[in-house]
Amino acid sequence: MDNGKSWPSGKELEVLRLLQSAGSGMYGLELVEKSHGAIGRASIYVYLSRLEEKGFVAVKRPTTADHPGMPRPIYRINGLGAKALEAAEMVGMIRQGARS
Amino acid sequence: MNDMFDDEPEDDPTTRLSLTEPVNGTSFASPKWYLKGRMLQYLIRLADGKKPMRLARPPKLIWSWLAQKLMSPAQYRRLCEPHIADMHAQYFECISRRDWKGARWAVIRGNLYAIPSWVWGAVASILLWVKHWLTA
Repeated sequence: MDNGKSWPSGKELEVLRLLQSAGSGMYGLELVEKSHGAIGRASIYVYLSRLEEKGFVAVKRPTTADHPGMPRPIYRINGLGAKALEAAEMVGMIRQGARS
Repeated sequence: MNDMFDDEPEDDPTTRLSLTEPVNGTSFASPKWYLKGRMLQYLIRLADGKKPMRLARPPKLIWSWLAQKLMSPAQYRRLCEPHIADMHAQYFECISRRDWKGARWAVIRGNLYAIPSWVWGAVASILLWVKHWLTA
């Protein structure tokens, strides 16, 4: 892993922490609600997209939904993401203010 | 007297409009018949004095065509499609509650919240393309 390029940023770590606390998969809007204003709806998919590119998050895109529109993707932290979060907490990268 | 009607075509039952069966090989799955059916439903409900039924078609992002041109397909799938999916979920939730105003707001909010994502994706795609062009 290229540390300079692939290490998650502060907000991305916050997203990882929320995903880990949920245990099961979550929708993007659920993450926004659980963050209590720390992460906005406009930027959540930017963070999730970066985390997906870096390999910290697994995404499941269902083929069908319970409504006629497009189904929502479900995000889940994977093993690499859990390790990155654990390492970040050990070195104190997550700021106390961001936890709220 | 009968000669007057010779020029008119015979009343072929297969050419009549049917609400239950396709006519002359056309299918109700075709857009023409779909729209006719929905308009008929709308008019019947209007004549009954009930509130007309809304046409529940999934809304689209206004600028998705531009985002599709500027972004790579993978970025579009990661950045724009989740916004569309959220908008659809909220829209149909409001429709099921017959909350028309809420449904309209869900579409407006969905379009507004998607802007930073697709702008970010478009800028990233352009920068990648410039980087590729400079290094080539």
